[in-house]
Amino acid sequence: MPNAGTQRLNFKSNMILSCLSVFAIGLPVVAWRLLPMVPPQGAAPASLELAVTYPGSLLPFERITIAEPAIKQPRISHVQVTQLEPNGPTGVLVCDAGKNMVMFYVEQQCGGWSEKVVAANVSSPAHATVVDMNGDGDLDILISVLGNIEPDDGVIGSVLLLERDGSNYIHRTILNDVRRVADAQPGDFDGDGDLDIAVAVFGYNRGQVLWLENLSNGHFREHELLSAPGTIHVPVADFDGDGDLDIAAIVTQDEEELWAFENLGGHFNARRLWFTVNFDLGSAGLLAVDLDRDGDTDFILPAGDNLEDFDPFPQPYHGCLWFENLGDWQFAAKRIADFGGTYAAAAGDLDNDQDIDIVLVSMARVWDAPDQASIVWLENDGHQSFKTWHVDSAPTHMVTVDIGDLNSDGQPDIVAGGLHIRGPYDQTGQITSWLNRGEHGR
Amino acid sequence: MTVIRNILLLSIVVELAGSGYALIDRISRIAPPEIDSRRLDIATAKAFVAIRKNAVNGGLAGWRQLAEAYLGIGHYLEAEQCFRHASQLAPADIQAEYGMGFCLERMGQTTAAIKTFTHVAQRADKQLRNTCMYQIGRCFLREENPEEAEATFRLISDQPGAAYQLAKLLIRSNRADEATEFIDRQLAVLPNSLKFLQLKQRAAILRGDSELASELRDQEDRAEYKLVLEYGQSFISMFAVRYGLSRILSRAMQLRNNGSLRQRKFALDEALRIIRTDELWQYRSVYIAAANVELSLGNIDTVRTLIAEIKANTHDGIDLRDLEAMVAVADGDDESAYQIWQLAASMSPSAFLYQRLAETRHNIDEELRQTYRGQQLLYTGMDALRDNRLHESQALLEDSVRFLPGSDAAFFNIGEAYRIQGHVNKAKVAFEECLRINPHHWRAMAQLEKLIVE
Repeated sequence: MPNAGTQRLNFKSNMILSCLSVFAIGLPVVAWRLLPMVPPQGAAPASLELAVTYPGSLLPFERITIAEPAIKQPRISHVQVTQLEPNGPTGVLVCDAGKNMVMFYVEQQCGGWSEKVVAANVSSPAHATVVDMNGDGDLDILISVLGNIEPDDGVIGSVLLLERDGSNYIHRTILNDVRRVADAQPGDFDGDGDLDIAVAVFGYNRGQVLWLENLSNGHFREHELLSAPGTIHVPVADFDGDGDLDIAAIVTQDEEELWAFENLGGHFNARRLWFTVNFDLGSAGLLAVDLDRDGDTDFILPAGDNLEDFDPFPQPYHGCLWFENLGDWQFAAKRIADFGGTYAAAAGDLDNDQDIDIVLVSMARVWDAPDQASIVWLENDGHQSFKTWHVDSAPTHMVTVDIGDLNSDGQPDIVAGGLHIRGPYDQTGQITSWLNRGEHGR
Repeated sequence: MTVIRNILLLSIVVELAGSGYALIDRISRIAPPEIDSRRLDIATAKAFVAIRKNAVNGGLAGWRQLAEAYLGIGHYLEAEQCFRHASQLAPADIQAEYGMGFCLERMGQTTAAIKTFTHVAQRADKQLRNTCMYQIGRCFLREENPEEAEATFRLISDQPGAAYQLAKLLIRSNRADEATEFIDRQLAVLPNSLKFLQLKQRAAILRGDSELASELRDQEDRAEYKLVLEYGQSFISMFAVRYGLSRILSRAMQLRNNGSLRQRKFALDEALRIIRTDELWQYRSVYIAAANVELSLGNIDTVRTLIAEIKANTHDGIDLRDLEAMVAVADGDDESAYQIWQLAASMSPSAFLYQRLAETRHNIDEELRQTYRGQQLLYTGMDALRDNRLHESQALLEDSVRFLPGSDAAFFNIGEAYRIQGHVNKAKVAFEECLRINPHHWRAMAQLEKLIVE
């Protein structure tokens, strides 16, 4: 018989063995159960630095909302600081492709902004230009109608003229039976004293550049200048300095080309001024402006439209190009800013130093990253070298911008519109202004 | 006893060492990248938690699955990181490496993308190799390097996309004759291809052959979009429909073809629950589809609710106005419906809207009904003409002029249908009639002048 001491010893040994057994069996089980809960600490290397940021603008701007989004994801296609009457108030003329309307916003003396519907039931208006089209002394409005803001190759576009009649407008269709129209600009091309119209038929897979000859009897005769899809803007100016108006066009669908149509007395000589083999550049508009103030008209090209992607990503070649007019139809292309997703540009002397600065807005940035600018301004050093300043990060997805003195304080302000057809949708904006709070420059 | 104890102790030591090793291995593993899940719909966000967990524990398959999931929602950076890691885990997996190249290309990292696609192409089958080469050529174009792009496209010039890009480069460098050879070869396979006809037109202009250019310009209006130049979106879409809301919507789309109205309603309701919870107003088309299903089921009050939601939150459109008109019809208010469709047709005329208008005038105004019927035929005929269905368009447009004897548009379009088919005399008569109705119809005038000259 084992004595009590031996029994205790055996018991102790058995206990130790039992514990060891439990531990030996339990350890793998516990490890197997707990290990998946341990978070891995290794980091996958990123292939590129997403957060491209710019220094904050030293020229102060105050953001104000002119119009709150009427729908959750606004679709503003064009904004312009202008007047609807020769001595009327300055306001913002807006094309709203979400509500299928053209509106005019004016700041009220008691605060806030009044909204006047200029035209309703216009299917995706793309652009509005205020002009005395019929020469009767009041201001009419020329509207380019897409028919559908989404990609569509259908014959659904038109040019609409709102003829001023007292305080109302009479609607006249100048052109239909064409594909989506993105822009229409007036000019007396044939020198007969009335206004003709240059038209950008954007279309989708097919498109045209037209000019409509005003026959002065309410009818227009159309002439095709170019057959190419994706023309966004057709600015009109005397690009060759010969005293008549020429037409320019930026082609952006598959081809990326800058064209000019030299006016030879009512007929035109097509000149391709520039192209790039980079089909993905995403030209998004064309501005005619004398950037270097040398007396001739240059071009500003904002580039960064990649809406064809469901998830557009800012590309290294997005930004802004300046085409310096060298005379004799020679233009030198110069990159003046890198800015991902650039969709629109406006020009004006923002810092009051007698040179022309540029504002750019973006449709596609890496919105997840912090401090991503949705609007920047490019400060001209007087010699057309530009420094990019961050103006704001919200709203996102802006596609149209203009510069003008909105509050009559003598300082040029910025106004922009949002087109929210791609996500994220948490920083939407309809019509937003950045009031210039600088005093005679920085 | 001692032996057993020693064995157990040894086992424990080994297990501790193993667990330690496993812990270190676990800690040192690459953590899958994370995204802000607040920007995902709840169903997709939930799916991503599981996919991400699977990536940590599941090795290559898990990382590939996560990479594809990120790609499906357009998070290229995170997708690229996951594809890269998957590729490191299994260097032989060329699909993972291709995915990495695809993401790099999307993010504008063209040089890195070219390197990756080149590596994949060396090991891939013919189809993937061609895809890689096409992507490489396009990357060179984006780098504004036409020489390298041309050399790359030449290697796969039997592929329609590459032949197109090559021909375009040749035209841009004033080699129109060589370009035309490539274009004609492709047009033999893809007759009436819009893109190739547009290129051929450019080549003709470059060669100074204005007659051919004009002929091709005419043909362009009736050409078909056949050539796929961009594969990216369809590649992404493959992965996009795997999870969450996109998966539900994909199922609802399938049910459109092979499901009952009840099944569609069920699927769309499921989607709408998520859309409403997360306020995903970009899915407006789901509301429209749901409203149409409810309309077919006779649930007019539900349609009304959906219309109110659409109007309050998302954009206007002809589809919305059509729904409003249909509700008015269901309420017995045909006159309101008629006015809504009239306004819609003035904004965006189409055969469909004119058909609706014709139906509303049935037994009310026969003359007006016939006018709308004529407009319906005219628009259907114009669509057929643009689709190059010439016989069909001729029949439709001949009918349309019977209903619309005073329409310049009807006579112009039937004139076009005759002209394109070579019925010169008939075309002249139609254009003359068009000009009699509207002496300012410049397109008719131009075509008539051309026919007379010819």
